[in-house]
Amino acid sequence: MPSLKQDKQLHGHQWGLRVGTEIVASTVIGLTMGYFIDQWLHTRPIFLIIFAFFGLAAGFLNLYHLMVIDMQKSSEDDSS
Amino acid sequence: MSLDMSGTISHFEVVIYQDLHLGPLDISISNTSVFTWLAVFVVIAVLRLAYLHPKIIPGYAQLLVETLYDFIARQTEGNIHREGKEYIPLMFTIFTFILGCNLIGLVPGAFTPTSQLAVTGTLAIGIFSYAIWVRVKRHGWGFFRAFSPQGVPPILLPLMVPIEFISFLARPVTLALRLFANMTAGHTALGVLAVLGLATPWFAQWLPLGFTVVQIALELMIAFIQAYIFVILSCVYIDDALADH
Repeated sequence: MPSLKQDKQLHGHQWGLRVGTEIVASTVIGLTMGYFIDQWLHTRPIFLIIFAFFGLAAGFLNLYHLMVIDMQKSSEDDSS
Repeated sequence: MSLDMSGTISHFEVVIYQDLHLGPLDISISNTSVFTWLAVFVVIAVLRLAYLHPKIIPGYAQLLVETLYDFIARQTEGNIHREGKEYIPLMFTIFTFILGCNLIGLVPGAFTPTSQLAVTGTLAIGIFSYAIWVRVKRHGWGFFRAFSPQGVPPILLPLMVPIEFISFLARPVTLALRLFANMTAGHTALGVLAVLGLATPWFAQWLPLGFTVVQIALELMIAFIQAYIFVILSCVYIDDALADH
């Protein structure tokens, strides 16, 4: 079935709304994990800094996964 | 005239009507629980009333409900590739529940249950736990191997495993945060516009108050889109759990 114009518009909304929170949430999780590990091991702020970077990287990784899935989907749509 | 900006956020305040405790559980009756139940009753009543006398050629109400159901069914089957049909009732329930909670907040004087992170967080953690349960049931504990991506040199593993783990944990957080942030931001914007509108001199009041009308229209759209996004992402996570790795 060819994709409708409305479907494409909805898809755009979905994308835009998803991408925004992805990096924020991952960074926050990284920071939280780092904070608690530091509190546990009394090594503040080493793990906070390390896990902030891990969190950022995780956010970008999620975006990359999203993009790969999206590109696969659009190429499937084009070929069918 | 001084501006009383407290009115812009005071409607997010949780008010406890009746303190109730069941062992360690706090089951107090607050405005969140009252409006959540109200949303549930409204949703059930609307769906029941629309389907009171089903006809082959549907009337307006029946058509609306059928279109809504058809839309969610199509999205669920499109996103959960193999067993999409089994999940349609769950997804339709989640969709109508969130939509009801979002829309009930637009009634003047009402409280928006989805503007509380506790509500959206509970929903997101519920879906996420279910997805993990499906994963363990399907693939056993081997799903932990998914945290070490294939083809990565062993020297990079200490770097990749925490990153993969955080990106996995980020899923319920993004799900909860998005719904909560959108509802809170929309209502705050509405409150700011209304307060500004009341504080402006009479000849300029049409401008901010006119914008509140536009903002309410936008809020209506966002209520639908956020419920839709929540369902789509739940489908994606469940599909991910069902798929072979």
